Amino acid sequence: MNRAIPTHGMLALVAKYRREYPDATHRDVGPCSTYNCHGLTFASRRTWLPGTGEIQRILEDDDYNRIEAKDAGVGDVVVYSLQGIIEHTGIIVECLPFNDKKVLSKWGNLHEVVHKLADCPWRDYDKFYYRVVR
Amino acid sequence: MIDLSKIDLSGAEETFALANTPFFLMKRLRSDPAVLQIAKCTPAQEILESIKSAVAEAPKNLREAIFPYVCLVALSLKSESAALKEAGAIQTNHFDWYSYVASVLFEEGNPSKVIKYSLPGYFQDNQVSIRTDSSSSVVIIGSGQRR
Repeated sequence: MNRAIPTHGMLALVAKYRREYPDATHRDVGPCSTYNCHGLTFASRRTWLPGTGEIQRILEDDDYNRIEAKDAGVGDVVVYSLQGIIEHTGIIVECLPFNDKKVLSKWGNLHEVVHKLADCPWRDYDKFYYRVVR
Repeated sequence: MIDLSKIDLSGAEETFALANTPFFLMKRLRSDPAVLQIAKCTPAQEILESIKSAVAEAPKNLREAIFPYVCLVALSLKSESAALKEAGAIQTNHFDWYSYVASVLFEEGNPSKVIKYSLPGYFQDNQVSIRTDSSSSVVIIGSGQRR
């Protein structure tokens, strides 16, 4: 699928999010539509993975196990979900006090951000944690 | 035709930029001021014509990339299923989520019909349901344990 869309206007949105989330680390990677958050989390930034069905299949096929928030650590995956729909994913890169984490994720067509769990546009979503078991 | 220059699409643009899935896009657009404005002030036929014009060419910027989706959701809010069905039939190579969004919006506005039939001796409570949906597919659902 050709997910390429014009980048005109995207840079302005990246700048806006840099202002709105000043505590996050906004990486100079993106904006681009080659990959999305799921592509970063599960496909090494190689592709855009569409939606809930595909992500659930990856979680099952690649032997991801659901774990508790208290057990989630660096390298584990966080899934942001609303009404059963998976809308965002990221990789935990740092554990913080009180079960908070720092997460590396890509914000849609925009850029990569390292942010606290709730310091992102998906802050109100349910959060689930997964660890690959091999 | 809707005059793009008179509509503030900044919120919709932001939604599109952040969207990982068409579901996210639809959900957010339903409460977007631009969508509500178009739904309130523009006749369904005019929205339809705007969609046809917008999807004919590849978008050159973010505004053009989001505009067909804004119009589709606005059309769905008008509850005019014939226009929405016509919009869903439009073919485009430039907007990857268009067909999916159109079909979901149409389906939501035209829920499945369920008819119950009695079939003595087939299921325990002698009933099956026949469900049809917008794609004209038929699903037969048995009620209770099959004998």
